Amino acid sequence: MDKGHPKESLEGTGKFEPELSGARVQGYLAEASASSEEGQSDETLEAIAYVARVQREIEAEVAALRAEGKYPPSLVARIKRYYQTLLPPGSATALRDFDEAYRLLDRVAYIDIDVPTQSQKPGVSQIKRVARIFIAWYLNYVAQQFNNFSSNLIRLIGIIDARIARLEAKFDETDFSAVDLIGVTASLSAQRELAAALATELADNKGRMLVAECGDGAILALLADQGRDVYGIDTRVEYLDQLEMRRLEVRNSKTLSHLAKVENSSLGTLVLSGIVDRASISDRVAALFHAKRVLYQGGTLAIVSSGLETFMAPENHLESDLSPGRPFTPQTWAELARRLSFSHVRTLFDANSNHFVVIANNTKIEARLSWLSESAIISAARDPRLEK
Amino acid sequence: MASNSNAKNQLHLTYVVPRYGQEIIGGAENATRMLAEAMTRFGVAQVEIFTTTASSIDTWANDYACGDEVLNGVTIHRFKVDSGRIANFAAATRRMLAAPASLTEGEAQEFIRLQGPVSSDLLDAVDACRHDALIFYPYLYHPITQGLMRANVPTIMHPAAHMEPVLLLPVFQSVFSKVDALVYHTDAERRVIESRFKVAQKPALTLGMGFEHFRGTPGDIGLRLGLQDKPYLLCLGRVDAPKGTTLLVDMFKEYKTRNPSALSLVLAGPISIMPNPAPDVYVVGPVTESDKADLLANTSCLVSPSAFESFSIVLIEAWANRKPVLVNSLCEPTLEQVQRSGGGLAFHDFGSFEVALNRILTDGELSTVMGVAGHDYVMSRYQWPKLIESYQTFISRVIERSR
Repeated sequence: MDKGHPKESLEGTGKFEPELSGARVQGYLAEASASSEEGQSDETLEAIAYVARVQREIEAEVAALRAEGKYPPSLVARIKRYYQTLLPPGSATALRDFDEAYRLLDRVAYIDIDVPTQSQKPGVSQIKRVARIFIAWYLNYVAQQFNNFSSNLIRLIGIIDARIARLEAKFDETDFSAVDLIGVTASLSAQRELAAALATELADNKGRMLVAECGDGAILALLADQGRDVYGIDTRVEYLDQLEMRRLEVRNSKTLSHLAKVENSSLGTLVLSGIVDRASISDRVAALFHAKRVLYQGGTLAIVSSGLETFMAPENHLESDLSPGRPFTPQTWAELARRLSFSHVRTLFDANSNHFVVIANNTKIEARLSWLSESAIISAARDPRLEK
Repeated sequence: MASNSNAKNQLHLTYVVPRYGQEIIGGAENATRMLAEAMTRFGVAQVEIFTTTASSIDTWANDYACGDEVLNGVTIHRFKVDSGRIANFAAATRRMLAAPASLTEGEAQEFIRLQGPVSSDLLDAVDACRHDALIFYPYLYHPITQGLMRANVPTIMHPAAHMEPVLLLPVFQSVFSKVDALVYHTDAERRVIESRFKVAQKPALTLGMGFEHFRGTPGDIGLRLGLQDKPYLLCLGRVDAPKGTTLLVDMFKEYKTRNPSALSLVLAGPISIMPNPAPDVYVVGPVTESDKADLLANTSCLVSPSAFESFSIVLIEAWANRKPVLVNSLCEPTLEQVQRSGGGLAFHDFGSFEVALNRILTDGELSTVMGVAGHDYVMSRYQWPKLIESYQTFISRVIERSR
């Protein structure tokens, strides 16, 4: 498949191989849209598109029939009841039902002690009325407590709903997925010496290693060759294909969404690249929070990045213009790492000082952290955006 | 290639599965047997099975004899069930499953124990096993949750999971934390497990499942049911309300009332909960492979009404026969298979069921396109040689990593 980007290697020329150019962006975007269709023939792709169109037509037809009242309410209600029994917890359909469930709960949350006393049997109605009067003191007391509880509960659910709605609105504003440009200006693909220096730094590290946005696998292959338990993630399938053919362990995954699904204290080393150059500030900080969480005590974080000069280079103009953020300096990374209680922070530079790696050891979180806390880390780990 | 491996290079693998046998139709158990037999057939592994003497998930009664037997080249070790499923399990655990995440670990362990099967002999065998790897399949049962904790060799699990209340029981976090590697049926299953248990760092493989073309003479169940030359929908698998069969029969009854025709519905599979009786609905119970082949060859469409599947082998079987499918869109894994293949349509309420069915039954071109697209999908992804090769590589890597 034509990826729409140059394949020729610049290895040995001393030049940095640009991993994102205008042509490449088009290639990556096209690839991203076709990533799930890899390896399928044109006929199959046409069939998939045709069937998807039919499915949309079906939905439109159903909506029209529903609007015409072709489905009796009793039928809709009956089938819906079946569906409710089949709904997985937290499913999208269940979420759509929130408003109705909330309304129903609100309606039944109040206990009315004015018990009906009508009866068809002679005299029973009077007996019921007398009984109601006699037990009213008791029912009143119990009902008041319950009604207090339920009204507060309803209010609490309303507050939570409003807070979630605010978060959802905020998420809509900050979702950059439409211009998710995986550029990796700081890839180590051409920085062989820096990659080798990093591999040497990590030589004594134990445990599982993750190279996030591993690109062409420069650092991944070095670590794997050392017999390390290492895997890489990236979303560029052309790299993933090549790396798989080299028997390297790789996944098609984005950095933040992957880290959100990694167990606490389960990694010995985390190498972050790509996202550290071009993501928004909040996403970069989120990546640091995750690093803190997923690395075990004594584990190593390595941040592979580049200077602004590289980021702004002509071959990267699209990325630098459209990316939500721009690279931090090594000093900023080092300061952020220290504030998160990483220790032994040091920086490696390439010969021209255009590219660098900040390395830090994970240590216990200190209580004196002024602007970060363990709860913040947990919140970052639970960020609903990352579950997408 | 895998089949060229000699005995010296062979892996020695043991699968732990609650029940196992040719007669057992359950999805995960059937998948285990297909995989174990394929690994043996391709010569890449010497495969043994640790299982119980049970055949029914409703009781886990000791139906088979204890001891060893060989089935299609796979050595099976059957261990006695100490306690099966309690009689009123569904009623007793309804409250537990209403808020599963709020249970304590101890209460969740009790749920797993009440669900059965409990076999101390099987767990002792797991403890003593020194083969290259222990492979657990599926995540849900006592031999898996307890066996995994007692394993002394590399462990791999095929969770065969989907988002369901029981997945939220706290007992499974430690199970998924302990296992060395995971094999998924679909990417949808992988997303569910990685999000729920945060195990994305573990070695993992999305394998799918291979299939075998039926090579014998198709049966005559269509003739026996009087369905020859008549259109019918087919639903294969356990007949059970949670599997969506009660919903399907009710919707089919309504469909026939609104769209009178000669269309029938055939439900073939073990019966747990009988749906309400309805005209033109045949609930035939378990069927032989030859009768299944006959039903698949002549159906207009295979329907998968279940919302709880981690993978659907019956979709693969339908597509192998170039038949379109109709799935419940609540089930993410089957919906994903349909969307990726173009082999079928999805419904999410009666309206979409009715309209989609009308399109499938009246638009011959659409049915053909979907059948062919499904067939291409199966041929490109679910051929045993390709699957076994990647599975073998993965297992070898996991074993190597644990050394």
